[in-house]
Amino acid sequence: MASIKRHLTFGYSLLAILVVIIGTVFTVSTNRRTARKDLQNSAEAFVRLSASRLNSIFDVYYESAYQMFFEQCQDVLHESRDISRVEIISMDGTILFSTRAFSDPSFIPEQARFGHVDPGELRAVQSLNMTSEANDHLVIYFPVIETWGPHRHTLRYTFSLKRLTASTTSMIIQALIIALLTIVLILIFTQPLAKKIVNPLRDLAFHADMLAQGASTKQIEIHRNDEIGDLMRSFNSMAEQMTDQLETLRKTNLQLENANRELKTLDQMKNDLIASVSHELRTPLTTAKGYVEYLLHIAPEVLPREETERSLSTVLRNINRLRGLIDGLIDLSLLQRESFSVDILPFSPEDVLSSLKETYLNAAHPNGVKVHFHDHLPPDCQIKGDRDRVIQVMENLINNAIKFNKPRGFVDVFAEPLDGRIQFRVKDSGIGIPKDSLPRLGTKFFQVDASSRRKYGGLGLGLSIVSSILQSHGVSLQVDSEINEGSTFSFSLPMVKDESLKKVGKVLIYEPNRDFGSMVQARLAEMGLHCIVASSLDSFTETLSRERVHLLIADPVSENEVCDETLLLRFRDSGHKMTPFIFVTSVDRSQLSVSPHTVLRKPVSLSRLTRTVQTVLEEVRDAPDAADH
Amino acid sequence: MPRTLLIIDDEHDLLTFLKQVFSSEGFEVTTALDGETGITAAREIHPSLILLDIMLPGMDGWEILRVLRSDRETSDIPVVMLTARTDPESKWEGWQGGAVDYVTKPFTLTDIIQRVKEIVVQTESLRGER
Repeated sequence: MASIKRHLTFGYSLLAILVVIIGTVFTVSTNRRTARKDLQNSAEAFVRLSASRLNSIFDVYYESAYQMFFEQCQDVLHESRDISRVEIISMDGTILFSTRAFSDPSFIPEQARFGHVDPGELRAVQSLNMTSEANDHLVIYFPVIETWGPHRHTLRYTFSLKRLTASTTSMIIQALIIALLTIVLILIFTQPLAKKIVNPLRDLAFHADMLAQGASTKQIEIHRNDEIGDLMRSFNSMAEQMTDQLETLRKTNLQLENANRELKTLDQMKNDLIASVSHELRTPLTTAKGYVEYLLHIAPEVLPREETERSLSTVLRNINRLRGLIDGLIDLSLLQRESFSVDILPFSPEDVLSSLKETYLNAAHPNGVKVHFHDHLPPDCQIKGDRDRVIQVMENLINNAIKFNKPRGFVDVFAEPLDGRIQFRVKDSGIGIPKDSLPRLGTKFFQVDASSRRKYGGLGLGLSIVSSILQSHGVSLQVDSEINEGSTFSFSLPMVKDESLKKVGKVLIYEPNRDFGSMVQARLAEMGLHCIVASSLDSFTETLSRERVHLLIADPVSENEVCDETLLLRFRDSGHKMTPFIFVTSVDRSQLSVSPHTVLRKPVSLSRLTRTVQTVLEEVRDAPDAADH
Repeated sequence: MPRTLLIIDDEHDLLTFLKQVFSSEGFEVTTALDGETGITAAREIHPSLILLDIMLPGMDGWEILRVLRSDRETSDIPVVMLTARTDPESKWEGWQGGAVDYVTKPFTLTDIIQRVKEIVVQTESLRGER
């Protein structure tokens, strides 16, 4: 980054220096040439002017009036600033006089000797007014061709170029100063310029680094509208997109991780299940197989009949257990599907309890666990539910309570009324369930601790089946547990108000299909309802003339024609002004001219029908004024 | 001295069955439904052989095996493990724990009878040599 500044400063400085040098060289050389020319011209003019004067005086010099000559010479020297020396040279090259003498304190005019000049050189300048120059001085020869004597000599003027050099030098110095100044100015001006470029770049670099490290970046503040501003804007939008994408990626990643974890858990569960299924299936199989082998190979003759019977019943029991396990697996897979339905009918909880007592009361349970029943049921009470499934639920709960119990522990089974419902409770003195595992109870294959599977066996399906069955009853399983104290599992089912069905108990079924009619009749009879079936319109009218019913169930079709209007007219005419009716038919509702309470489309399940009948009758019971009986 | 056999398994039916079978083979059979009673019984009757199930409530078969092996009174009783698990790892665990044999459920009856008899006879002859 700093190199941009360096490049900028260095580049500009170099450029400035180059410009200054070239400028200086050019100016100086031009200047010097002009100045020299001027100097030469003025020197030559000066020489021409002063030469005759000096010449005349020189004659005098020879007449020993050198004092005068000296003065003249000094005057001459003073007349031009640049003149440094004037000399008179004889033809043979002897320097007759030189103004050098003035600066020589030991100068004695009579003895003056000023050295020699190469005569060749002199000869060369004889004919012309020759100028020769060296670096620091300009020499002008002025041959004096006199008429007055044998002496022919040459005047040699030496002009100093010091002034010229000095002015050149000062010019160079000025140029250098200008160059320096320029550099300083460049430094002063490029610094902020560089800053203006470099700082935002630094900013960008910083943010890019942050972005690369995955840190959430703030937007760069933009205060400019130039290309750098554009770049920063682009960067901002890029950063925004990247952050968004990163966020999406992170989320997707998290989801994938979770999915993976779940899959791993499921896989583990599957493996555990396979292990426990094989264990659980092998155990009863061992006994059954053992007995069969025993009866077959070892003791076919010697065994008394009762022994054989006992053996075979053990075999049977174990086979049943195997079937139970397989049923559990099938149940569960059924329960997992939506299609699973329960037959919700009124039944006696007493019934359930006596079935359970038969199974558990006198049986020997592992670990010496004892099962006690405490039922305080109101007489003749009925509850709504699927009797067989409720027994299954209770068996599962009691089996669990026995299985996860302490040696010589107890299991208490309660059934008692609670707020118009019957509550079933299974309490054990077992190992209890840790609080954090409670929500996972009822998860397929879940057993609280991994070792429990090995310890207690079982597939871990029990509670999951229980939950599913209760769910389809619209109730949930309550769990209350204390580690090492035991657990209580409970659920409750609604009681059927006993009088409801007895009071409103007569149903007329109009059903042209006799089989279906009697099937419905049988089913409703189980609910304690008295049903009359009519299979033709005539018998329908005839029945109505002598019976008062509380509900009509009808398929309003006679000889393949919809006759709902006729049917209803006859029904209402017979005095059943407000009596509810249900149509059970394959006819579409739109084909009906009357609007019944309920239409059930054939094919309909019996449980659905019984549920509907129940609901309608309960409505009648709850609002007895509406029904005209 | 009659040959005695201790069977530890939480399967009631299986216990009844094995008791019946081995009794008719001339063994005096004692059964236990869990580890604690099993260990107590082993100390009391010092059986000729113990049939030990692995998956038991409470103490599991491996723990029982360790206890039996570490107790001087019971350390010389040959133990045959009974299990529904077939994975080689549990077998390996069995050999290391000091079980003399390993029978997987469901077993073949003649096979288990033969194995038990063989082991008992071998152990007896070894003891006789000592």
